Amino acid sequence: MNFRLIAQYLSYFAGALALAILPSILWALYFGEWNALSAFAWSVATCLAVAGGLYAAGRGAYLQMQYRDALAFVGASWLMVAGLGALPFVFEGVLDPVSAYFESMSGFTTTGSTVLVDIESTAKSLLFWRATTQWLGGMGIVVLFIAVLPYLGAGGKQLFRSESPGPNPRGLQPRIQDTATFLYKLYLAMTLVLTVLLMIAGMDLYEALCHTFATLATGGFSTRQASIAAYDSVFMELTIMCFMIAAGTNFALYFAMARGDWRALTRDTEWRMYIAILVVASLLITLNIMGFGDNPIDPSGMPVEEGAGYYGFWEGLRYASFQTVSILTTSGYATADYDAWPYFSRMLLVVLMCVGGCAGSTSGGIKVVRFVILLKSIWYRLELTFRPKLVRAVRVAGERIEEDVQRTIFTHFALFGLWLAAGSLLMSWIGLPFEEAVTSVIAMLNNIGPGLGLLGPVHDYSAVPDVGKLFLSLCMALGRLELFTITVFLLPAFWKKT
Amino acid sequence: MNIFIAGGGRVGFHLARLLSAENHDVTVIELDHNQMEQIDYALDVSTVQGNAASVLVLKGAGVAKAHLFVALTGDDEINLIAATTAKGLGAKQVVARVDGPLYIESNFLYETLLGVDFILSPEYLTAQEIANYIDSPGLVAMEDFGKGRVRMRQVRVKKSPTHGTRTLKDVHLPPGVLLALISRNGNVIIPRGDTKIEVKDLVTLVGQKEQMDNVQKLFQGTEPTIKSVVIAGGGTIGMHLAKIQEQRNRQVKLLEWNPKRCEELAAALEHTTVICRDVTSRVALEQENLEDADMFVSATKDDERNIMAAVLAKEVGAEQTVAVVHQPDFAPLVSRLGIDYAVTPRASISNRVLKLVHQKEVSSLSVLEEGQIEILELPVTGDAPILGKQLKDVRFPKDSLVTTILRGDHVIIPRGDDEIHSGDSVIVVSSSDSLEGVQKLFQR
Repeated sequence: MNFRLIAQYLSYFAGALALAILPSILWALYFGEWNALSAFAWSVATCLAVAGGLYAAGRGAYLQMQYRDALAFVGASWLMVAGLGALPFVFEGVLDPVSAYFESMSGFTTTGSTVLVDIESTAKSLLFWRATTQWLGGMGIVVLFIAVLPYLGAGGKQLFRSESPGPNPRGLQPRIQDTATFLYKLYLAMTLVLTVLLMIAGMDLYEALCHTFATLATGGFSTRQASIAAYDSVFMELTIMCFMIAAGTNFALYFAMARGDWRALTRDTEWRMYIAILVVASLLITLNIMGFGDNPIDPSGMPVEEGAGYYGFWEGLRYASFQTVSILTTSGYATADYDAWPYFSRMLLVVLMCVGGCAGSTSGGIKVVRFVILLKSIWYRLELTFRPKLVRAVRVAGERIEEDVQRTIFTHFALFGLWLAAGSLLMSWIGLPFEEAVTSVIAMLNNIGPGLGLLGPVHDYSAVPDVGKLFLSLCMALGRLELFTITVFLLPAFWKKT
Repeated sequence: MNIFIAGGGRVGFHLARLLSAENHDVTVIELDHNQMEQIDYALDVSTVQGNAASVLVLKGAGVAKAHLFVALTGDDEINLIAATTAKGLGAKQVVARVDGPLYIESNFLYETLLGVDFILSPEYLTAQEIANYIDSPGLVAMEDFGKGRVRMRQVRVKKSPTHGTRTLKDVHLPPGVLLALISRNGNVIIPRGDTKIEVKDLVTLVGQKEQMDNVQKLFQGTEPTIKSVVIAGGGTIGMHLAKIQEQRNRQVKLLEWNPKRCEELAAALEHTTVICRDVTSRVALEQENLEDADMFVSATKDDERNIMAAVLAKEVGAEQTVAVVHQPDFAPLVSRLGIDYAVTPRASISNRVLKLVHQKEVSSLSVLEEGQIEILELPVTGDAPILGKQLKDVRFPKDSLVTTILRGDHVIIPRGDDEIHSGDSVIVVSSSDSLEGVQKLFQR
């Protein structure tokens, strides 16, 4: 393991994080939040000190990054950046260190679950910092660095792969730096457009920026306690929905469109599947919250009284579609308390949490394309049980999926299952009820945000014990880096020299 | 520059690595899935899987927008078809590699017929390189710049001009000649006044053409001319080398173990003594009177055989030994084994392609030490940042040196108080990392 080189690169991250804090300082000045201002100043100083220390430790490093180093570096950078990003919350005094780490990790991994009990009484500049962490984490901190640092070269490619979501990520351009630069330019352009649209919809610049950051990163942090519901504006909801869908789309498709291939989007198998899931799930939930299929059974076997609090069609569609988009793209914004919805809707939303958006997007989750490949692969293997000699190429969009890619995807699902089981057990050990234990781990591994029950959209995670917060922070990093990168840290063989 | 390389084998991989290190957009087309994955993983290039001779694959890869297309697969016909097709699709410049003698032994211009800009054979280039060495042993490379007025030579040091307390500043180089750099055990040193030169160093000299012949003696003493050559291995390299030696009227002995191939060689080479023997047998080498040979060249397909045969030949008494080393990682080790010179075919061809790439930006260029060091001739543009400054006040990037200024008909070896004028050309030695920085100084 090339620890020196890792330390050297980490030092750049720490230094750059100090830069990223600067805009929040401007807001602290603007709102006159002196307490937050000094917290930011101390954070910047700490970041710079850490950067200096790491740089000294990494001096004279051998500039050759092996695959193992790339994995270790990406994993370590996320754990470190979340730690440094927690500093403003700690210095300001609003959160204890463990909670602050949870909040910061939730930001960078674009999870969007919070431990802040009263958001509206929190310093506004601090909320801006929270949104900034999501924006940075959305497209990926490592990708940003590849775009900016010219000399990462082939090492940069390995880093890119360890961070970018989806199976078998490929560069769009021959040189990985060009790819990273394109992604960030697109990201910036979308940021600009959405900010303007949200201001037209009635937000001020501060709120528009915060919500834009969180929307494009599919993060879900809001500046309001009631999330988007606080604005109660159909236009705003539609705008945010469209951009959540856009952020959950594979950015490679935008690249193809920029190159003049206009049908790239509508031709893409994964994207069509993604839209189909959105439409079907929205309609099912709409019907369900209108009262269809809501037949709860009382433990005593008696049918429960029904008919109370159902929506009409248009209202139902409005809330159902927003919640579906928010959950499938792993944003976690809420315009309704879906925890109060019928069983079927809640269960469907939990299933959608695991699906997530498209590969190569800013969304979390397992990704639609993995499900597509999994299902086709299972189909083929089932066929093999009665036609043992059959040879069939598993294809997605005409493109053959190699056997090793299929195996990696099986492993991905298995890993997800293992972490979910282990995590749920741990959460119930430290005192969470069944529903909360399971949904918290699902929401973290998929970078959604809120879970169900006491951790639902109108509640927060402050009640979770410290051990639970730390474990959930780990789950967020696991989910953002697609399980493998962090899981390998647990293998002794990964750290051995031979 | 947008460059496509068909075939990601040893040569293709090597070239892709060199080019991507220079920030070109490189796409490699490779048939084998595993090899493609390996390239994708190791290099900052994009990869396309498929047969390069297929028009569908080439079109899909976007070859139409290529500035340079290089076909480097192991199959001559695929390379030729791929190169022609790429040209037809719109690639600006196309190069095909051929291994067999079939397409280059005649004077027939396949290039014109197929519309391919260059047909290159690594074996022929290698044979040519060895032949140049035999013509002037100790001279490792030679290159002319500035329309032939300036010559660059690389010389292996036999007799150091610095000994005792004498350092480089006490050595009197002829006027108009500069010692540009020294390579020692694979490391490159830009020399200063207090530098010492050691035996076995590789020194690069740049200067006026007329002076260059004298300067070699300074580092080598007098060299006997080569009259007899023994070549081990009758492959394409061996055969072509033998042919060149025949033309130079040297005595040539060619060792080859395959009796059938020996027949072919004997038919093709009129004045060469072809002997059917294993080259790594000591008895064979002794019986063939190797102690009388001026030069022994081992040129089989197998690196280990070549290296062992060359070491053995030296032991038996050959004056000088040359080994063909296909794996470039071995090349720096060879001099430690007492072998005088090693040639790497894949470096020969990739250097040729690199030259094509650089021709666009610089007048001429030479790549040394496996791409670590480059020598280039740069025309100075009117808005160059370096204009109007004395050289000693200019901050040059690390490991770079202006060796010569070409002004009109004058060749100037610059000193600290010289200035660069607009319209000059300069010949610069630079490590490949500093190349971009150097270029920016002279050309905005």
